[in-house]
Amino acid sequence: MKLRFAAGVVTLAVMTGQVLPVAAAQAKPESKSVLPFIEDDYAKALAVATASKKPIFVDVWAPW
Amino acid sequence: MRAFVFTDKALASEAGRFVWLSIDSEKPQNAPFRKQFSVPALPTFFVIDPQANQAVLRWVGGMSVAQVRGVLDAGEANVRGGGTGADAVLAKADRLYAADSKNPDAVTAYRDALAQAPAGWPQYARATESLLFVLSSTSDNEGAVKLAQDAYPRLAGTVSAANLAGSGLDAAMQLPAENAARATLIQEFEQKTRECVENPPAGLAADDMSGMFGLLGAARDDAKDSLGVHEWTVKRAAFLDGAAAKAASPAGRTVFDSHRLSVYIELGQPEKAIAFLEQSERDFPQDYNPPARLATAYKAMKRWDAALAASNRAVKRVYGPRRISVLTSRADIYKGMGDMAMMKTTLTEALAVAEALPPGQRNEGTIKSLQKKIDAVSVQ
Repeated sequence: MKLRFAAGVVTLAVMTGQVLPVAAAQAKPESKSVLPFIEDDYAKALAVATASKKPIFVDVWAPW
Repeated sequence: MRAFVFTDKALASEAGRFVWLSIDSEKPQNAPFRKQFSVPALPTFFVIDPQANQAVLRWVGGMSVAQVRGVLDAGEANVRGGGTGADAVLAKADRLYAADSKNPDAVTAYRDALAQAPAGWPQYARATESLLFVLSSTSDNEGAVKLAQDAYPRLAGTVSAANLAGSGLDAAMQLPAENAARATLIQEFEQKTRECVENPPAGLAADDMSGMFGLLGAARDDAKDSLGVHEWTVKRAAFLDGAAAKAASPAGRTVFDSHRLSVYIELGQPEKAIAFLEQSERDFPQDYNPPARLATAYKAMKRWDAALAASNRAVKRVYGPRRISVLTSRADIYKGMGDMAMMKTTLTEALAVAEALPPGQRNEGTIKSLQKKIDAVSVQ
């Protein structure tokens, strides 16, 4: 886990647009995940998980 | 994470265990998720119990492949329930922390779990790092330093130890000047952090390494050692250039763009960022980040026309809350050009964007800050 100091973590102030971020480590779409992520649809993930009785793993990120 | 961890074939075998959800926090349709679940920083990961529609575990920051597996195992166990002893107390702490990163009850629960932990407890590292984050979030710097000191020997040589070293140094530097132990603690954690940089544990992400270089520079700055600051910044630039050169794909290379830009601005050499940022814009023509960063670089070079042109390209592509910072940066370009009227117009546009954001993305602090900036322009 990375805390305040770490490059990969951007704090809430940055997230909400107060600061132009200079620290970010997110990938562009060409990076192919080996995991079948549902994109930006919590309701769908919740429905699939409820039906399949599996927990949901969520990655909250930003493209910067 | 998305470039280097979720692409690792070692995780492919985990695909069937969970339903996997990716949330771009900038997109307006994800604002309700952001409102329901506490996201103190990015990236943040959750394990959610779908029956209860509640998070049972949260992890803030990047992870190695091994750490992802640990989170999956623990999250699954937390959903299942029925643990005993330290595991049961940890599950309670995880739920409290997942709901609120500043919850003092989470501190108590994590401390209880660690106190009950048997020797060789597999959850020790995760529980420690979670507690460290709560302490950090609540500015309990003395508590964070003490925890990092206590846990470091037990986790030496791991990614978690590197985090403890960096977090410990960060917390030590934030201790009040009147704290008699401050200088000694900074020295102690500076040494630990340096050891981790010089001999990094397996799995430590390159961007984390970059952060530790930055922290070592900050420690030298704290000691008013400007030469030391410069030395660490030069080392960081060399490390980042090397990491970018070794990246297996353009996406892997652009991960380092923001760090490299930051470092070259710090070194007073923003022109060195132009070539790699232009390459990133060619590789990802729909991405607002490369032109936004080019605008920042040109702004640092006082090449106002080039900065404005890059900013215009970024504004056309950007969406969500990030639009505010891109516009704010453009307002600074106008300020540099001496065009205060356009500076005010651009800030007013940013304010309108901020006020129109939905709950979950809207931030009152941002709105107040922008209004203050606009007012300051008005009186000039």
